[in-house]
Amino acid sequence: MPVPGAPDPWELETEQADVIQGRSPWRLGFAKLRRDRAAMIALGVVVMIALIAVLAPVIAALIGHGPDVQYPPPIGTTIDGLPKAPTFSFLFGTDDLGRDVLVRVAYGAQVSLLVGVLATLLAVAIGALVGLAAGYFGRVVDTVLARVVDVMLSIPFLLFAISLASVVSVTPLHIGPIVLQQGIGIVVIVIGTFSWATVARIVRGQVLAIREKEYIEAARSLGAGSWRIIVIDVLPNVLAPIIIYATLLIPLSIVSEASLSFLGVGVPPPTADWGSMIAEAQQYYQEAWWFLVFPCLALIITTLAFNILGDGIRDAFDPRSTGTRA
Amino acid sequence: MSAVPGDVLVRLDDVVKHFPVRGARRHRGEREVVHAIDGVSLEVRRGETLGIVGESGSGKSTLARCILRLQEVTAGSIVFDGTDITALSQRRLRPVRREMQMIFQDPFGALNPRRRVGSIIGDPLAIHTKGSGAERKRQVQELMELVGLNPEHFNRFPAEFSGGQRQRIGVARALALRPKLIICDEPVSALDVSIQAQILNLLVDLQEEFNLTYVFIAHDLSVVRNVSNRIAVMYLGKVLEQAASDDFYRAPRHPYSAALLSAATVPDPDFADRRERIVLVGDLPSPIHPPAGCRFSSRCPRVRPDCSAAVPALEPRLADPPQHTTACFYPLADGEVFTRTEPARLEGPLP
Repeated sequence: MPVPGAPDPWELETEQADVIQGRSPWRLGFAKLRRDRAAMIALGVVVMIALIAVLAPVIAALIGHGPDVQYPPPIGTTIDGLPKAPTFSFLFGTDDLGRDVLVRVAYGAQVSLLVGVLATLLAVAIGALVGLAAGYFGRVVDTVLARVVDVMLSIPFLLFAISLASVVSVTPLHIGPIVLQQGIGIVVIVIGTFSWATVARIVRGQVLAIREKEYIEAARSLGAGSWRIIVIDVLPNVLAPIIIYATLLIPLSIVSEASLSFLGVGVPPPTADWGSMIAEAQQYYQEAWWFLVFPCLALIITTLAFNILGDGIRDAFDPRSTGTRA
Repeated sequence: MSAVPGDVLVRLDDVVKHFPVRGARRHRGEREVVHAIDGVSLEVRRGETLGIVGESGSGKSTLARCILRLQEVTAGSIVFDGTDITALSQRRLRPVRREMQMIFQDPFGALNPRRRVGSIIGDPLAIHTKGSGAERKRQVQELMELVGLNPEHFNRFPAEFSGGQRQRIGVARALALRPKLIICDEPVSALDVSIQAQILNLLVDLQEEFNLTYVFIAHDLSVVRNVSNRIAVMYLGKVLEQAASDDFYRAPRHPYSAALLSAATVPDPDFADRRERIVLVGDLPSPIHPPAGCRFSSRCPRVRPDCSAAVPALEPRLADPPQHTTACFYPLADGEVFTRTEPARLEGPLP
C-alpha cells in the first residue's frame, strides 16, 4: 500500500537529475496544513498525549506511585474510605481504592490511544478493501458488498458490543487459532468491525468516480490487471479521503472504547482506563470531584484535539474545501 | 501523402456493438439498445493511417475501444495481425496488447494526476517487460527525448505540463513498447490550433521512424486530411463512405461527407467565404431508434422516398475504384454541389 512520503522509485535520484522538485498534491496539502494554526495546536496536543501514554511508566516512577498500587488510609483514602483531594504528593487526588488519579489518567492514555489507533486501522483496512472492490468491480460484487454494508450499519453497536463482551468475559470465544477474551483485543475488534462500513461507503463513492477516468482506461489498454490498477492508479486517488476519515475515526473509536469500559464491558480492571475511571467516579462525584473531572478532561481534550486535527487535515487535503480556517 | 498499401494489419468484419439501455422497458419483446456500432467492416493496412471521421455520437470512439477490446463487441469479428482477438481471454490478450496502443483525447484526464510522468510513461514497460528500475528509467528518458520532452522532467507531475506537453507524454506512453498499431482518439481536438500542428507532425515523424499504423479518429476533416491515407466517414454507427484520402477530398460521394467537408475549417478566409456551406438541420437522431433504411435519410438534403425503404450497401458508386465505397443510392457526381439545407419535401406519403 503506497503511503504518502514512501520512496517512489521516480523520486529517488532527484539531486542527481538536478531538476525542480515536483510539488505533489501531498506536499501542497502539508504546506496548507502547516499554516492552519488550530490544527497545528491540536497536533501538538495529540503529540503530547501520545508522549504521556508512552512515558506513563516514567511519570509513575518520577512520582513514585504505581498505577495499581492502593495506598491504605489515611494516605490513599480518608479514614472513612473516601477518595482524598489533590495534595502535593497526589496532584490529581486519589480514587476510592487509594490509587493516584494522575498516574492512572496517564496510563489510561495508553489504552485510549492504542484502541483508538488499532480499531481505526482495522476499520480502514477492511473498509478500503471492501470499498475498492465494490467500486471498481461493480455489478454483483458491488450489490453484495453494499448489502453487507447496509447490514453492518443496521446492527445496534452498543447492544451488540455489550452482549458480545459479556459473553466473551464468561466463555472466551475460539475463532480458529485466535482466542477472544475480555480485554483490549476484543474492544479493538468490536469497534473496528463496526466502523469499517462508513469507510467502505466513502471509498466506494470515490472509486466510482475515478473508475470512469480516462487514465484508468489507459491503464486497461496497456494490459494492466485489475489489482494493479486498483493499487497503482485508484488507491493513491482515494488515499486523501481515507486519511481524512481515519483521523476523524480515531476520536470516535476512543469515545466508543471509553463507553464500553464505562459500561463495564471494555478493558477489565485493574487496568487504568478513562471510561472505567469515570464509571467508578460516578458514586463519589459529590465528595470527590477530582476523581471524575480529571479522566473526563483527559477524554475531552484527546477527542477534541483529534477532531480539530482531523478537520484541519480535511481542509488541507480535500480538493473540495477552499482555503483554511484562519 | 500517397497510400503505401501493405498487408492487412486489422480487419473488422461486420462489427456490432449495442449497449443495453439501463432501466428501459422491453420494447416489442426486445430490450432497447443503443446502436453504437451497427455492422462496420474495415481494413487497416500496415503502415497506413486510416482516418475515421464523424460527429459526436457516430460511434467512432466506441469503434476504437472495440478494436482494443476495451469494449466487448456484440457481434462480428476483429482480426489483428492474423489473430482473431474477438474472444481472446484477458490472459491471452496480454501479448496482443503490447502491439496496439491508444492515444487519448483528453490530455488532462488520460494521465493519473497522482503519478509522476516517468512512472506513467514507464507503465507499459513495467507491465510487459522485466527491466531493472535503472534500465526502465533510461528507456523512459529516451522516450521523452523522442517525443520532444525534456528527459529531466521525468520527476514531475502531469499538472506541471501544458496540454501539448501532456499529449506528448501520452504519445510517449503509447510508443513505449514500439507497438504495431496506435489508435489516436481525437489526439489534438483538446489542444490549441498552434499546438495541434506540432502534435500532428510528431505523429507523422514517429510513423515514418517506427513504421507505425495509425487509426486516427477525429471530428474535424481538416485535421485528418494531413495525416490520413484513407478516410472512413461514420454516422450513427455505420460507415457511409470510405475512400483514399485524395479521392475523398476531391470528390466526396455521400451527401453527408460533402456536408462534413463543407463544414471543415479552412485556412483561407476568402475561400471560406466563397464556398457553399451545407448546413445540416437538426441533431443526430436517437441511436436507440435509428432511422429506417439509410441512417442519414432523416437529415439528408437529397433524400428520396426509397432511401428509407432499404439500407444502401457500402460499395463503389458511379465510376469509382473498388477502394472507394459509398453507402448511398444517390451519390454526388464529381464536383456536384447542392445547397438545400432542409430535407427535401417528399413526394407521396412519408414512410
